[in-house]
Amino acid sequence: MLELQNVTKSFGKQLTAVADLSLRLQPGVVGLIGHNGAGKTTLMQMIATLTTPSSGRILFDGIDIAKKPDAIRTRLGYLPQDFGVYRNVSALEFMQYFAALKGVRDPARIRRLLELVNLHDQAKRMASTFSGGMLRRLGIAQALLNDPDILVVDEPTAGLDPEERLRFRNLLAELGFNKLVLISTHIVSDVETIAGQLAIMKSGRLIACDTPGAILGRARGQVWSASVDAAGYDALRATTHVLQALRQGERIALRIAHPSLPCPGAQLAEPSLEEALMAHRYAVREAA
Amino acid sequence: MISEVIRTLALLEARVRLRRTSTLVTLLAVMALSWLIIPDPAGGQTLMSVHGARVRYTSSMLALGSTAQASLLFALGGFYLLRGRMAEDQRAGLGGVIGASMLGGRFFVLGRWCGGVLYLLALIGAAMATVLVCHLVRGEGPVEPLVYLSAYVIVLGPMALFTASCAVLWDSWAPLMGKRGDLLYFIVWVGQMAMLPAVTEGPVATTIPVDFTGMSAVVSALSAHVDIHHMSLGIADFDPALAPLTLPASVWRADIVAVRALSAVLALLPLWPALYLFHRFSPDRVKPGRTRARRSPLALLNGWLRPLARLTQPLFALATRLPGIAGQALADVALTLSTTSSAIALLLAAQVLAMVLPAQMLAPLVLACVAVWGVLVSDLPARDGDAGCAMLGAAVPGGAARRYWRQLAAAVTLGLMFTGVAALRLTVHAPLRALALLSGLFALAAFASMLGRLSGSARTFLVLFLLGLYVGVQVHTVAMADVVGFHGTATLASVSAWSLMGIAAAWGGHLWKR
Repeated sequence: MLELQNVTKSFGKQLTAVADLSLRLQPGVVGLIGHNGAGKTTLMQMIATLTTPSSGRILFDGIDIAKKPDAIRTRLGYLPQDFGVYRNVSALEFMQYFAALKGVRDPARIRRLLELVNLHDQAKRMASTFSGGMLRRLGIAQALLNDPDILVVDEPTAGLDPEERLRFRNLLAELGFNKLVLISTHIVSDVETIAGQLAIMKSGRLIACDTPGAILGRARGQVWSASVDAAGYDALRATTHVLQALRQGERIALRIAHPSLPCPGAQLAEPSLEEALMAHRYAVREAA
Repeated sequence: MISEVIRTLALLEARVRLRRTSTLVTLLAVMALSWLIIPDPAGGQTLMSVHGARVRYTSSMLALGSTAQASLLFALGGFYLLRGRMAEDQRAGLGGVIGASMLGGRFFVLGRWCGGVLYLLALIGAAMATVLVCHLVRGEGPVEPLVYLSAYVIVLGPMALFTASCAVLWDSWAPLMGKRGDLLYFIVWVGQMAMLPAVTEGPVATTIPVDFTGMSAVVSALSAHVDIHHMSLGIADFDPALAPLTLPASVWRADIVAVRALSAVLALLPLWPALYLFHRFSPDRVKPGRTRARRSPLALLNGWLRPLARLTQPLFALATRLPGIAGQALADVALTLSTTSSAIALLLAAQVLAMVLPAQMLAPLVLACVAVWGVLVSDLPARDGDAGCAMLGAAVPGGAARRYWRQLAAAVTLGLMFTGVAALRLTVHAPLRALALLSGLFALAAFASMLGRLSGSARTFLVLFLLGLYVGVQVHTVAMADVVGFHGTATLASVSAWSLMGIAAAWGGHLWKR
């Protein structure tokens, strides 16, 4: 469905945001994970045809979208990380405007989508008065107007409260049943329960692309738990990758990423997805 | 300590402005204009003539002539260049940081004001340097730096202080922020222009303290040496057969200098309320929201007229049915009208008036419609960016490239909606006027789109549009100044020229950031 072939995006000679990235994606929820500055947003913008690759190709159903951007735009829903709404425009008018821009002829679809994101009661309210969560939902409704085959969502839960996050996450999971939903985030919990595939980026490069189960599997045997005193903690910090440290009375409970026993008394632990990703990142860094 | 804080703020402010590419462009434009306003007498034109005789290009003449021209431009353009820094702070998320800092609001405002004055002085310095170079090329006499300096200080000094004070006040008080503030300042500027007849037509030319542009001072100074009733200041033809006149090196009388000193003090008055009204980025005062909207007369009017926005529903519906750019442009028309309900009311009124008014009243109606339309469409090209919808709009079919053309098409369509009925009636009575109206609308829409794309802001076009409108109404005889056929002096040549300029502007905007 969507294939990226050796995609590179450079800004001048100094900055390469995305470097030689190749990826093949099919319908389902795909989590694009990486730290800030890893190149996720640039990659998303290239897929959304907002910018073109410096080299390489992005193929959508075999068509190079740099040459024929409208091939994907007609089947694309895009929700950027930061977006706003026009002043003095109701949610309904905002949707009507984008429906017209996208050539959506079914007026009932706007109503259905506002119901889907639970904003139908607020349709006539000025969109500029919406809360952050409501704005995000309006944004996703806008992205779904043309019933897209590919939905690109950049940092979807930034600034949302826990309830809104959960609601938004479930909505994206449902959409992923029959569409390609590409979610960019640096918050692992956003995608760990809904993504069928995780693409991990670091410094513009794709360092892994696999199912969450496979990534967890690889991390097993590399995540340890230990309890040490303050002096031991300082020593361990210098030689291992401490994932978590929690003070418990006089001692400190640790979670550590390390390929072998990091200290006497340490015990193998079942990694969380976040820990697995961190362990993977450290392993890549050390290999490099 | 206090002076150190203000000095730091002012220098920072000046540095921020001077490091921008737009400042470089502005400087180049200032230098080009400063050069162009001093024509080469060998070409049959001069900067100043009296009874058809040209005045020699001495230091005093060039200093007076150039300051008079520069003052008008800087008083208007300078304000629009200066204002908007606090809105920029807000957009960048720095407003809250500044508001929560220990820095006193009054020091902040003073710092901003000083920075603004420094910035204007830098531009004025560039203008003066250009005139000095021009003097070396075209001058008729030695370059006298003190003559230049005194003229620039006396004429442009109070102007720079007043312009910076207004810019700070307009930025500090929420009701003056935004487009209505832009319009209000334009009225203030026009008001100063309106004082000139009192100076030139009275028995004795006097310097007016509240004329911050300094035009009255220039005219008053000249009145002692030449017949100001038969004087032309600006690019003008002259009779080469007549002997050139020479201005004395010093034209400034003590009374004029005293009045200008008073003007400089009065120029600080707008700063005083700014110190007390400064919003300090308080969310309930500057954040766009219901509370704030109720304070704005325009927002209040739009709120009252909000039911009229329902009339745009058929436009939205039609937009979805039209394919490609036509549907998208119509969607932009519908969005523009639904965001400004007052424009719908004015549009309806324009239709009724265009049908019932006698033919001879159509021209003023068209002019009023064009004025409303120009203000309305000025922010169309920058709207997506301002609202944070730029990326949403670029990911739809056609992308960012088509957005430019659809917004241009929407601007033209809105122009036709406002003036269409009048244009149809004009076609019967004065077809050339109707043609001028159409070409003028297209050219103005193209310039709005191009300038909006180049500057990323509505202000550049708005300033030039209002200035052009003012000049267009004042100038009765020049065909090229009759952009929309208001005076009926447009010719086929001027109509063609404006059409070609419109095409060039539209294409230039398209190529920019392509």
